Amino acid sequence: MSSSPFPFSWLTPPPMPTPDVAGALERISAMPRVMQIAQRVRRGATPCDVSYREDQMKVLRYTSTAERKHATPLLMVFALVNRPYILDLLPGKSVVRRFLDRGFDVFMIDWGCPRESDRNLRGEDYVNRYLRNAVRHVAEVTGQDQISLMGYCMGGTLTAMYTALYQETIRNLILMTAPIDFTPGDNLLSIWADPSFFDVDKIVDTFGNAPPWLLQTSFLMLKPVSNLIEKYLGFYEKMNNDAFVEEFFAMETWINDNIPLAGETYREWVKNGYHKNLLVKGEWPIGRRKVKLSDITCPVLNLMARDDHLVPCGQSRGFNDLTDSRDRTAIEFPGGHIGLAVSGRAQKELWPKACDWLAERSLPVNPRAATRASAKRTSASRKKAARRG
Amino acid sequence: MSNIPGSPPNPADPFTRFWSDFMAQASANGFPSGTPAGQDASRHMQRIFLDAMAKYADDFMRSPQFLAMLKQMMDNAMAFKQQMDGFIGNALRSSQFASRDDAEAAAAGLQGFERRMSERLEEMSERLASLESKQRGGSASAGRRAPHKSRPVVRSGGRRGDR
Repeated sequence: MSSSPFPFSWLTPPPMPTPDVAGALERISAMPRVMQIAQRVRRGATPCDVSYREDQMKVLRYTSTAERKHATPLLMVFALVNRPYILDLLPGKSVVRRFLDRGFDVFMIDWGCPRESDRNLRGEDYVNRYLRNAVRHVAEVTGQDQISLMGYCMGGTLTAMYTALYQETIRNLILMTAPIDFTPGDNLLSIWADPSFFDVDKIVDTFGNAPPWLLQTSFLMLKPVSNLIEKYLGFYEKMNNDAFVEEFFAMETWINDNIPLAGETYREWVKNGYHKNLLVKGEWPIGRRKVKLSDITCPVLNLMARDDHLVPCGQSRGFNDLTDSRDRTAIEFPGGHIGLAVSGRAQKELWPKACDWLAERSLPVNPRAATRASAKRTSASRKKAARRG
Repeated sequence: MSNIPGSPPNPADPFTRFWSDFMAQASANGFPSGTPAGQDASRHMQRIFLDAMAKYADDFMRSPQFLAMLKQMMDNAMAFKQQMDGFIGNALRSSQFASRDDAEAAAAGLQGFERRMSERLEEMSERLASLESKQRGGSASAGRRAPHKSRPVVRSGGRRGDR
């Protein structure tokens, strides 16, 4: 910079950036395309059928043209607080598709939306009834004695509890960012759940089910700058990029697709988890029994997100050591809570490894039985399509 | 922090700290001399600003002031809800209609009955499985469960799904 004639050079204002007029015009002209993309957002990318229903719960069975290689089916269980299609968000960002392409028979529980009258549903209803019946159904339709179970977030906690109580039905267990150890830490959710500020009894007695606005607000406020400012700045920067816009709207659709959480389950979760940390003590009651994670003996794969602000690694890390499994694997992957499922890096690096892990521990398909089963499914789908048509 | 010893903390203190720290950082890093103006400089400034905001927002949300504010907001929301529910419940009862509380009480009763029935069926099933395995002469270890079979399940609503 040439020397300024102005004697007090430290008072010279910094050079101001010139406005990016061309960029702004480009973004404005991209608006119609953005609206088009927004209108074609779908909830879930992979075709599926409803295989089983019970009350609000549905068990979805995904269809695929890939050759079935593994007889042991995989049942995915998401949390109760959001919709499960985060695991099948877009064609290139689908954990479901990863496993399907590797030859697994993939099922997913859609918990549905609790009604007002479901406020009395407790953890034992979800574990002993819905999850147990879903597992039975999957085992029955696939002709297997045992299945593989994969739980994400709160779904991971539920699947861990289920496996501890009904180990004989589970061949392999995969957990994704599952809160197990609620030891008070410095994460915001633990601080906000402190009983001196947060009266969960009063909330449940007043609202019944935990309202969606309460859950969504608390999640958004964990990273307010990122969720309320940076996200939209980033959108403005890249809104002329179709792939980015498609991902953005798919994520926004999911983030805002909130459902309430059954009141008594919420009460139990906060008290038994955040307040008393009963699961690691082997004292969490489910029905007549107490969950003891040491009853888990099947192979376990514990996936954690290194930058998870919702379920810090510390809440999941200790799980493997609490089990009695002799085949324990833990992976701490860079990324956030949702990034573990949808980030490009996780899709490329993490999920192939998880598929390899599961493939090694699943029963192979009997080729002749697979051909018969596949022909039967194709025929059933054709008949259904003909009835609809 | 307030300068007067013993005085209550100034609620504006976190923000004062935020702005002074941000300006200090920006002066050190965000106003680089000799670099060209343009998108990079403004993005750099933006990054510093947002990082500073995020840090202080996080600190603020852990503070007793925020937690007290959160509690107050929840208490207000619950008080409003209770008032509305009370008003609507009274109006419905006066008109001889069933209120939401009545429907929920009925649903709770049904669910409790369903749960008790399920538990009884479960106990009976376990005892039956135990007797069967004893009869067969196989080992009936404690806690062993019957093999998977299609069992009738007490379900309310819904039907067996499409395949």
